[in-house]
Amino acid sequence: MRFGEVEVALSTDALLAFLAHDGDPEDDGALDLAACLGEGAIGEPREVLVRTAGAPLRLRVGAIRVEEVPAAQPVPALLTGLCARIAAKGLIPRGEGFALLLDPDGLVRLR
Amino acid sequence: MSALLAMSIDALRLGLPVEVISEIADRPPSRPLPRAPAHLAGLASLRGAPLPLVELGVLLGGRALPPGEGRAVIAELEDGLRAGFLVERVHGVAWGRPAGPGATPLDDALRRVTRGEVEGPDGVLLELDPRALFEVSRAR
Repeated sequence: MRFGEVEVALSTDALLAFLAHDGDPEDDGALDLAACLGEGAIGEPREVLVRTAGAPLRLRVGAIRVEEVPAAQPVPALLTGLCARIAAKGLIPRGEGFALLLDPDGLVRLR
Repeated sequence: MSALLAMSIDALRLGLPVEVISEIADRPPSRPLPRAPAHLAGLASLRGAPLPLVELGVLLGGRALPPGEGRAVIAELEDGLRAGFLVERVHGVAWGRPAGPGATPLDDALRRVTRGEVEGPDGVLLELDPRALFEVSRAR
C-alpha cells in the first residue's frame, strides 16, 4: 500500500477480508491509515479487515497489491521510538528503499 | 591530539571523531518516514541495509540541504546506533589540539552536541560528541 512516497505493508497472515468501502464520510468505524501516518488523503479508499489480538480491525487504505516480498529487516536503533509510534515493526526491502511492515496490534493503539 | 573528520554546513565547521565513522558516501536516495521530526531526512538503503539519514544542519538549528545535495557521513556506535549525517562538504581528517570550551557563544542546539573547539590546521572546528549527537538524533 502506498501513500505518496511512503509505502507500507501488512502480512497476509493478518488479513481476514477485503471489504467494500461504503463511502460514508461520517463513518468513523474504520481506522484511516493515511490520517494515522500523517499522510495525504487517499484517492480511492478501500478497506481491509485485519486480525489483531482483540477484535478485528477495519482499516481504510489506498491501493492494495498482494505480492511476495523479501524477509523484513529490523528497524534501525535510531528509529525504534518513531516506528513504535507509527506501528511499524520491520522494514521490507523495496527497490532503492523500504516499505514499513505494520503491526496490526500497534495500529489498534493508534486509534 | 585527536583525529576528527572535518566537515561543514554553510559557515559552520564541525569535526566528528574518526573512530565512529564507518564510511563517507554521496547522499543516497531516501524515502521520507511518516511523522518524522524535521531533522530526519528519510530512510535510505545502503547496500541493502536500512540507513536513517539525519540533516545535521537542521539538528543544529540551521537549514536543510537541498534535496539530493550533500554527502553522508555514516557513523556508528558500539551499541548498534547507526546513521548517515548529511553535511554540505567533507574536508578530510584534521589532527587538532583541544582548544577548550571556546570563546564563541553557542546556542543550545550546538552546546548539547559539542565537546568544545579544536584547533585544526585550517582553523577552528567544533568537535561533535558522537553519543550526544545520536541521542538528539533519535526519532521519538
